[in-house]
Amino acid sequence: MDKLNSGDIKKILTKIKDLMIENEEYLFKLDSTMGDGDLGITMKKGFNKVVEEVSNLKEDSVGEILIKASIAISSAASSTIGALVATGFMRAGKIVIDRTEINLNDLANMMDAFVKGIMERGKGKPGEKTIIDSLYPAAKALKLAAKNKKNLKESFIDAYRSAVEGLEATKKMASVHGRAIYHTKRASGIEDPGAAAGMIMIKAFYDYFEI
Amino acid sequence: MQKIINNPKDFVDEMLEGILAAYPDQLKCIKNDLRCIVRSDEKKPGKVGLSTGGGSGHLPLFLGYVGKGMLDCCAVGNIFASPSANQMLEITREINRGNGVLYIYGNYSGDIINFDMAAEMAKMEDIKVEQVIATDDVASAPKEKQNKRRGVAGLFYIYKIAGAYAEEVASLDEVKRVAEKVCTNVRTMGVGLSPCIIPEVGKPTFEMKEGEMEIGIGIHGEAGMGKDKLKTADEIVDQIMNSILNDLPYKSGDEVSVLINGLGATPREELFVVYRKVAKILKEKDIKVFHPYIGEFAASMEMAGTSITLLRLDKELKELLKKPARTPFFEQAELK
Repeated sequence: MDKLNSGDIKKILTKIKDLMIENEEYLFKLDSTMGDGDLGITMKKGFNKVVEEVSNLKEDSVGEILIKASIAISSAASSTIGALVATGFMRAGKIVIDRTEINLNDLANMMDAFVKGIMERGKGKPGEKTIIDSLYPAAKALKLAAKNKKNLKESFIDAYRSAVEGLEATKKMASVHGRAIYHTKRASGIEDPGAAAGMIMIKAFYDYFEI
Repeated sequence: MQKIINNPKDFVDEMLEGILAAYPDQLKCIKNDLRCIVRSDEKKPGKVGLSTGGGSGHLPLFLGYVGKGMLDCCAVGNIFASPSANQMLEITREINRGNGVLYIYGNYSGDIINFDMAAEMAKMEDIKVEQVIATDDVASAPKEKQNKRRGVAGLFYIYKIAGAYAEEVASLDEVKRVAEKVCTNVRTMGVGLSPCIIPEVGKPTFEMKEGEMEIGIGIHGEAGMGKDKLKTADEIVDQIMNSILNDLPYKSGDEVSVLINGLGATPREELFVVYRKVAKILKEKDIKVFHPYIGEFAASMEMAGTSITLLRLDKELKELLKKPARTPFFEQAELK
């Protein structure tokens, strides 16, 4: 497989939803230590709505599907992390708005736009214990894989590994955003729940190509 | 926790149900979502829409200023938490009359992220959106970093003046211009004497001992200049006025409107003791007061304390401030 069409994208979005449901308790536990604990349920609600909205959509444009996903997330996942993830999908969708098929180069560009969108909207950068810390390394890995002309499966093995490493690295970071800054002691040594959600999204691609 | 509530989880929605039951001629919710509040009176053709939003717990801020002569809609969040981008988008669509929508809100990261996202989605639907973000809290960052300052009671003046101008069917750019002019000329600083409690948390979110105060506190209890021994009213006002006056700076010969705001648990009597000293200081500095507003304008649940806001007026701002307004929480006949 070296290209993805709208059917693949829908399946990957469904995969993200399944993983978010599987990991709801894990995300809840992480978020309870430094936030208000609603991240797991926010992600579940958000991606449930995405699947509800896009699965019956008669739409071949990959970009349109992602923009629909963005709007679904922002309506169902009403929190800052919801708006950030929605921004990512919006920006990724915008660059492939007229495309029915995308290749690794496109995916690398979309991932880049996804992360840059989140960084711009949240005024954040890597190293601040946020969702950026798993997505940014994954985007970088994908870009490198595209440059080295790897296939999709190999590329997402790299991206997933980078995301997991990025998530692990958040254990040692101190938060500078949101309510987590009030809980720096409790949160030290624990991975960031937003970064965990980011890793889960990358894992959905990895799983999709594995099977 | 000493509160008149039912289930803490229902607190915000029940508050909204009460407001809608009380003022059906002025407010309604749309899309079956209590958090999407819009004016219920007739829309004026061509009028720029004014939208705001923010966490609950600050009444009359934010939704209390939706009404004639002020705002057209408000997205309502949980206590001290931003509403969603989608709620902002829904009300944006509802109030857009083709001439665009101006978002006016306070400088808080959650609100900015969601309003930015709403604006991005609105633009995809060809709705023109501009934003003005209040940064009037002098204590929250030094002057060189004004864009880091929080928005507090000064929002009232932005709503009032931009609202009056929008009512005259001024263009989006023009309404934005006066809103920014208010931002440039408005400064606020507060003092807190007791903490506040978010019902779902059930206990104070920060500590304040008997006999302590914090000058410069934010409307969610954010740190200001640090804790200090509680001083007299005159000493507190001196310290706050000194910071505000030097910040703009307000000069001899200026004309200002003054807003003395109660943070939730401070009686009006104390607010007038505060105003007495403010008026004295302004008179000494030869700064003229046009119209003082004294009451609760931007509270912080049941926090005890006050904030002082000064708005420097020019002819344009003064004329717009004089215009009548009628909202559930603020009414004013045309001022002379």
